[in-house]
Amino acid sequence: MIVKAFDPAPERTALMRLAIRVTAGFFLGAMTVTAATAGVPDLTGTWKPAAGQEEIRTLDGKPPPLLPAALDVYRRHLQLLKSGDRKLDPVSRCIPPGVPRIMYENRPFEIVQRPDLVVLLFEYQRLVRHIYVGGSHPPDVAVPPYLGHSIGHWDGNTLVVDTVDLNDETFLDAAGMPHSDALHIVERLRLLDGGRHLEDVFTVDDPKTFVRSWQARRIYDRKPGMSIREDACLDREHRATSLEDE
Amino acid sequence: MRRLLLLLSLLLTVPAVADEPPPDLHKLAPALPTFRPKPQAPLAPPPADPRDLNGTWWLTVTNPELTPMGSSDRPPFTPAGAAIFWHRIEMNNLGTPVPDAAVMCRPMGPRVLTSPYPQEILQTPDRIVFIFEEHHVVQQVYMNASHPSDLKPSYMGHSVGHWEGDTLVVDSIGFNDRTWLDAGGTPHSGQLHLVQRIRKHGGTLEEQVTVTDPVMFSRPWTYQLILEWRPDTTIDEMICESNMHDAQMQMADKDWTIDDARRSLKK
Repeated sequence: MIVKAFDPAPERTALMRLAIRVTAGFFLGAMTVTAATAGVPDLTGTWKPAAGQEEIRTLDGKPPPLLPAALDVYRRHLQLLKSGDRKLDPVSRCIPPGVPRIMYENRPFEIVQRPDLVVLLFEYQRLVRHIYVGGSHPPDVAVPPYLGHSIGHWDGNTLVVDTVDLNDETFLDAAGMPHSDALHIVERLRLLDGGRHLEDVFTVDDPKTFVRSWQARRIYDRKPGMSIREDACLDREHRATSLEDE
Repeated sequence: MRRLLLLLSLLLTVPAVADEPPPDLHKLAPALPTFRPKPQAPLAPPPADPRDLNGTWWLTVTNPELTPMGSSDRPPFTPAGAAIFWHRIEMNNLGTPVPDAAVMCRPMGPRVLTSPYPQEILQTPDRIVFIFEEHHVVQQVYMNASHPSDLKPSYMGHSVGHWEGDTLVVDSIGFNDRTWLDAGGTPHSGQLHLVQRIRKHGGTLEEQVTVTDPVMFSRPWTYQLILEWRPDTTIDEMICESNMHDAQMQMADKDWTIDDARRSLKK
């Protein structure tokens, strides 16, 4: 929960508050109209990648430029996961995959778009990403969320999403690519082919893990009429003790 | 802060020992105000359009044991429904509570309507989405649609909606029987049919929920929820699963099924 200060000066009179509120309302209204008339693309719809992707790769198809210590960690993870030890993977305990890995899951997600807010509703574990358009990051976060805190703005036809406050309990991909809590993701989302596809280009910046920042890209197909189904990760991952088997 | 307050309240409700008379364990659990922080500044008003429900809303009072609107009677249980409900209450009183789907970190089913955490409404022309902070539960309401004929039971069921004047009417079926209607243990079966009637009055959302379930209740009954407009609040990430461990996952065998209830009634 983030408490936003609407009017930080308590000594103001009720009349002044009303004036501020009306003015703010006017500007919010104006912003809405601007967004609509500026022809910002509508990303609303159901999207699904053509396939999942186990290992994250840079735009030119190479492994990300890991620092030596992080490379050792990654090699250990790769070895353990390839030997079948899935317990190492946080998602096997139904911990959210984090960003950008959630964007690599081979399941559909829905986008609901408003002028001030773009929401990604994932089928995967019913997770939700809120992108506060025109918002700002909170000054301090007691517990960094798995999916971080995202703000966005429109750069022409592209929604630019800036995500920080990610915790370090997740992997970047299903192969065990590590990251630190200094992870900073910038995504550029835009429609391709007349809206039949959605492109997400990630810039991954984490100076504690990588030599330099790098980019990756995902493409999603529009799935008209597809609705996301209910997913309970624990029923999926723990069949032996699942409520399904009662 | 909200969680700290909740924890504190849990600690404070631990019964004091000594000379107080023993509590009546069958007495109705009292309704409790939810732990909403005070707004730090005047709140921006909600959209004037009564059909625009977009924004964050927060239940003001939560009933651990639901009662029909305007009454402090128990819901009209069938004998089987009563047997399951009282089994859950007894187990709780014995200190070995029956874990429901919510405790098991599954989607909470209709119980989520009584959640003391905030919820967000997202509206598009053909869809209204309710995002509940607790257990990242999502209720999708397909507007002016009908339920599919091949519905597979799920925790949250399938919801369709339409407007009657300025009242949003949400009709839900297709629930599985693993969830409860409230925190106390009011049961439902897979035959549950819920109708929510939601109306906005300024900064208040008034919701009446009609429960029809011939297995657990002898007739339909309605409970009421009041939610408050909270534009100063956003939906936090709450991941129950990250606190879950193996021991907790072994707890699922204490509850009574409808067959247990029927067996107990035959005795």
